[in-house]
Amino acid sequence: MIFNILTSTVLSLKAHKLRVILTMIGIIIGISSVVTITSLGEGLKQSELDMIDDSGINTIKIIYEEPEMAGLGYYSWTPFTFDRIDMKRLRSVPDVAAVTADYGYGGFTAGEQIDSKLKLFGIESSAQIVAATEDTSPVSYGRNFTTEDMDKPVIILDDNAASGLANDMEKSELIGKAVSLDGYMYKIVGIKESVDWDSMMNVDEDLFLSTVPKKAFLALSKSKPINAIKITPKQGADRDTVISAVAETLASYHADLDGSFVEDHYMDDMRQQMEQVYNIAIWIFIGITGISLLVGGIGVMNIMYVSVSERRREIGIKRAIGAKPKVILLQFLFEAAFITLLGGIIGIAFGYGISHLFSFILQTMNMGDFTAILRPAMAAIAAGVSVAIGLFFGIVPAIGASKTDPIKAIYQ
Amino acid sequence: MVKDLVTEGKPLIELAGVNKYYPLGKNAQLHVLKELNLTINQGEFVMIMGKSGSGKTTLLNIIGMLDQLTTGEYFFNEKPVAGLSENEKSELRNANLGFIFQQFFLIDSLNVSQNVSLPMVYKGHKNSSYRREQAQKYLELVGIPEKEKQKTTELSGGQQQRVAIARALVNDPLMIMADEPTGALDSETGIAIMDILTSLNDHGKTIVMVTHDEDMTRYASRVVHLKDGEIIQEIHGKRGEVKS
Ligand SMILES: Nc1ncnc2c1ncn2[C@@H]1O[C@H](COP(=O)(O)OP(=O)(O)OP(=O)(O)O)[C@@H](O)[C@H]1O
Ligand SMILES: [Mg+2]
Repeated sequence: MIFNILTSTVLSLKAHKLRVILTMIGIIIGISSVVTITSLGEGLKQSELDMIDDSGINTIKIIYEEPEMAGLGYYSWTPFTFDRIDMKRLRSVPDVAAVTADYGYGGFTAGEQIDSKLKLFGIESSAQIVAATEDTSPVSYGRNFTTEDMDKPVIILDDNAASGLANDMEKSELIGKAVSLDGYMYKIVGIKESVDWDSMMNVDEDLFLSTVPKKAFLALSKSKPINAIKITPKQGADRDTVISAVAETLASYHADLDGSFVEDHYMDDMRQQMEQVYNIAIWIFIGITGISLLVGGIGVMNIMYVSVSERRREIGIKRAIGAKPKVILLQFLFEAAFITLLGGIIGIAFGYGISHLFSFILQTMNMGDFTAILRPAMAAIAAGVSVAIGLFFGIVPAIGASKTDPIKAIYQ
Repeated sequence: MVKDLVTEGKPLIELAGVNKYYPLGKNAQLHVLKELNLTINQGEFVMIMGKSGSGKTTLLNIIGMLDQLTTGEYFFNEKPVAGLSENEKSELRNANLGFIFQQFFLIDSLNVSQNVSLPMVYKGHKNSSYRREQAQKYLELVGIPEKEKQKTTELSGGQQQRVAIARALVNDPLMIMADEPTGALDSETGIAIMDILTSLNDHGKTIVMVTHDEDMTRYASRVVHLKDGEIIQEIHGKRGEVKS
């Protein structure tokens, strides 16, 4: 009998394809957004778990806070700068594994990069300088560094800095010229490719930076003010204890200062704000989901009423030849559940696709490093919810169908 | 079919003092069947005749347990019908009554074989190949074995009525109920349908048929005349000898 009901269900759905698809849209949107959100959430959770062992996340950034800025929690301009002796002192604080300098301003520049002035024939341009790493961006003029370059004062300019310096010249003419970098002379060996703004999703951030060999970079950074010190605690050390020990050590050597040494919370604040945005997004999605499932459910109810009234005679005939009311009820309930299950399965497929596409885009834009995960249990629950919606919204029309008076239905 | 011959003569339908009212508006009601007494025995071929609106269909529907009488008594196969639940009536209809309608009323979303199989599905026959065999057997009986896989909408009226007869017969019911089965067919096709019904009756099947065609009475073993909801004339006799 189940097979017969299934056949008659499929037949009646086939006869009204468009109507069925329209009915399913609400369910598809609802289920796909649930699946998208949970898959992304699951992926995020997993990537956070993966990152726990990553030492980077454990780095503490220490800044100096002027008394009037107390409590701000992130870098604001101050005449005070750290020096190399501070770094040396901190290396002997218990539980400190590593100490590095941060030349950036607060949270805006991550990593070690230096703001520098370039000068060539009286023309000035500014650039962010980083130390060369193994994978350098492609150059459009000149060449990349070779191993012999590593001891020499050479520079590869980013396209923007090169444009600034070139002025009336062709950019290619810059190759081989000597440029003044904060007073030191560097030979230009290459110019990086310009940023392809059309591929915004895939911008190579390295293209914004000019590059010098590591040794040259260290020499340059010596003369640079250190705005913050980054501390990496030893494995298993208590963060807060390390922070207060570091702060005390610094304070004891800078007893003349009124301000205090604190952890920079800029990134934490950012993360909190991101979390808030994320939470709001989740609630919006839950709202959308709820509404679309409700709309979908009402759509199902509506189509079932239409289906029942269109097939009143069929119901009457079936009752006349011996179908019990229960059989009629099951037939329509089955049909409703079938529609929503179908919508649910499509929704799950969409949700899978959307969440994976989304996490892929975030990855390529360097805005998040995780892959969406759709657990089978989650898919099963989504399918179950779909069926439940069909049953819930289909039950009233189905009961109506089962109570149809055969005589009135046949001779309508 | 042999068992039917053995039980021939036993009362299958017994109606006593049956009244049927249809509500009309607020306080009015329409008295459609009036103090009606009727007994139908197994093996009979009863024709219910009368003008349009005389209550023929209403009577047939009450006999077929599709409609309820307002007052009076109804015994089906010696058991009271009053007080039966919807489920019990459904089971009785499914097993014991076969319906044939003027407009055939096949289910268009199912093919011929599936239409014929449907009463078996409701009876609980789980084996689909058995159902298909049975359906085929009855399609042969009504003379259209080759239409098995066809869509019902692709059949002529006469062929559709044959399918409807096969569907009515497939659970081997005690009685066939036919409401103007030839009403929508030309006379030649109508005769072919009547030939099938008479042949069924020859093999012992009880048949109750509604008609307002005088010519049809020659197939009946008894003719019941209705006028304004009352039986005005009952003619008993052997088939072919019935005169009105
Ligand atoms: N559901 C109903 N509600 C109200 N009145 C009804 C209903 N069904 C039938 N009637 C009325 O009952 C009377 C008998 O109807 P019925 O259908 O039994 O007549 P009939 O003899 O079968 O007529 P015909 O030959 O035209 O089919 C008619 O007056 C009809 O209008
Ligand atoms: Mg009638």
